[in-house]
Amino acid sequence: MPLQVEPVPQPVWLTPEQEELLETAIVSILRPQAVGSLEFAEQLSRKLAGPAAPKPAAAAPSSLAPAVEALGISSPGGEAVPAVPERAPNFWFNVNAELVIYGATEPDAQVSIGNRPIRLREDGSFSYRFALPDGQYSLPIKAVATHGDMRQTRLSFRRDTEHTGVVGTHPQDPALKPPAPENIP
Amino acid sequence: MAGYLALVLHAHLPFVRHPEHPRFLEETWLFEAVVETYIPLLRLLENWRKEQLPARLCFTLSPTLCAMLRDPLLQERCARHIDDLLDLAEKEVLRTTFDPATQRVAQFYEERLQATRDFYLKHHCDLASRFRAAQDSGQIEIITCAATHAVLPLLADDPPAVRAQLAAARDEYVRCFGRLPHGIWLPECAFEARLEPLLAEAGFHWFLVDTHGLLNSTPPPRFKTFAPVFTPHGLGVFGRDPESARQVWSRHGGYPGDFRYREFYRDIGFDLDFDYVRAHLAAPERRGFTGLKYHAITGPGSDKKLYDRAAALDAAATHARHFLDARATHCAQVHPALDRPPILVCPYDAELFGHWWFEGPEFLDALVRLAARDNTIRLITPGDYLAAHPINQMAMPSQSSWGEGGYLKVWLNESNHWIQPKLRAAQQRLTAAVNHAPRPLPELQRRALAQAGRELLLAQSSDWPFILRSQSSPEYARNRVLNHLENFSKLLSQTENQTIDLDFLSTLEARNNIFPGLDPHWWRE
Repeated sequence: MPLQVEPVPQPVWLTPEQEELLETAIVSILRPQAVGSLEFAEQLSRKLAGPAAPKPAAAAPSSLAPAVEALGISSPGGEAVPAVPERAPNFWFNVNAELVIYGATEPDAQVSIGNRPIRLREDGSFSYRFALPDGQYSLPIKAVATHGDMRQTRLSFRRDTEHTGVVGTHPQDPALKPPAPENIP
Repeated sequence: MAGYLALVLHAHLPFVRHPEHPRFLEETWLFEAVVETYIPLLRLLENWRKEQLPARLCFTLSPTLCAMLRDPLLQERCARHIDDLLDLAEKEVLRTTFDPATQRVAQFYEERLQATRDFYLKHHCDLASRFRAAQDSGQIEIITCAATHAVLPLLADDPPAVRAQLAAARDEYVRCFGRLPHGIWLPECAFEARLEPLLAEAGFHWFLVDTHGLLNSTPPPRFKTFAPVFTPHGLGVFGRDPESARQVWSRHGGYPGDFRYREFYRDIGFDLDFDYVRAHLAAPERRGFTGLKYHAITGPGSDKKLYDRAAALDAAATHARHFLDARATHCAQVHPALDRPPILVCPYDAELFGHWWFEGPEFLDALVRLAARDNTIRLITPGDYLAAHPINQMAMPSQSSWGEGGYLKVWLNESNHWIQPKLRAAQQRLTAAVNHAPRPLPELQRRALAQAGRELLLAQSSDWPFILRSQSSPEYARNRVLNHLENFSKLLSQTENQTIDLDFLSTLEARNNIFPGLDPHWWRE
């Protein structure tokens, strides 16, 4: 939630006439805790702050215990899995995967990845990342020289993921405060 | 017509300009606001003008913001920031190739940033001139505020300090917009009675106070916040409509909290591999926001759905309809008690629209279009209202501010009280120096005293005590206050001892180059 205000009780300094009008025409008076430039300045000040103390990206879920217990009986392959000796409430684990496609050609060549033109560095090199969720993918990469010569390659990838216990994918950085309401000032 | 609606969008950022560094984290505040708020709002104005929609709005553009928007160094750095963001968005479209749903959001950012870049370059990076053109064409009324957004009641013990804040603001406004300002936004809506003659003396015609500032006027206002009052010196005073404020700002039920809107805190600057985003961060040594965010608010938990732009636009249109209907109902309720249509004054931070509330500009767009179609609520500026309704009750508003507590607590408390004695001592020292200086001032002495005045004005900004109170990272705010006061003190000592260091003076003039027309005699008593 990007905005916060704190309700404040109806002011007591109103005259009866004012209160009557407010009752008929105004639902309630709320005192914004941080409004206008306050609100913006508060956000700005947050940006000045250094990373918070490492916190779990996702709180240790209550589903962790039964999941571990179930796996403790037998693994999918039928072998026993050692029981987790002690549940660490703040332990967490996030894993993500990306591809890096990099290469080089003549600096004035036209290069595309996945049929989308890309920018080359001054020396003709390039480096681009690709998020790689589970699935099977192929990626055409093409370079066309100024005189028309063309070279093309097609790369294929597959990703399969199996988790044991709760493994998150996001956020990647432990310094990030999870964007839960209690972490929003 | 059921009544008037005055939308007042207050645009302000503290003066942050560091030519001594090739990149500076806090300058990003301006660049983000340009990309996310000012350009989207200007593009709205441009569209409304082409379609001849009656969209009469009021903007505050603070003098510090005007100076930064017109500064060539910051313009160049802002253009570089936009180029960098666009480069990142292009990379993101490629990076999300195997995730089509996310790629659609990335493509949305790429197209939006391309349009932002085109707009910025088409207008030669000068957004202040676009606001000026919108005012000159009759679309908007632009008002000013105190020179560096100082909380004026905290300066009221020293009238020259208030006079200088008002004179510098007026001077910057004339330089930027080619005319005198009629209205003034009192920083943090902070008012007390001693300001009133000084505001009149500076030539202002009207200002705003928070709801309780008007309701507690002496005598009480007959029409509450539904009509302005005139002060003894003839300034119009408008009070904030509390209900419309609540509908936008409320934590529970406020429009920007709708689950369909974009989530502010989920940003690829935090989510993605640090090595990847590092080059695009304002401070490459630590994570920060990039402005590319892929998730909707979704709900109170940390699991967020992908941002659905169409659903978010539907929410903005629905909220605009609700907002307008609520205002029309409200006006219809109170109209019989008034001798003219009521006015609902709705001041908001401009930066709310687009930066905080990403779909805020689309909400405004829908609101303006619905108001033009319905013809039940007429958009008006406070200045226009006073021209149409020049007879109003006489009353003096009470001391008040907005923010927690309603009485300056945010800007004067145990976390920042040390600032005030230092500011006051500096102010009195400058007044004494100007009082005893020869007239006309010798050029070098004039330059030194003028720069001392700039340093003092910059130290008086309300942004520093606010950031100090938040305690999130008070170092920058504390250093800004102390550095400006140190510069001030050196300049005054050199002036008094007739040992002005020309290199030192020139360096400060180049670095803190705001208010080129500043006159030290503004501080004369």
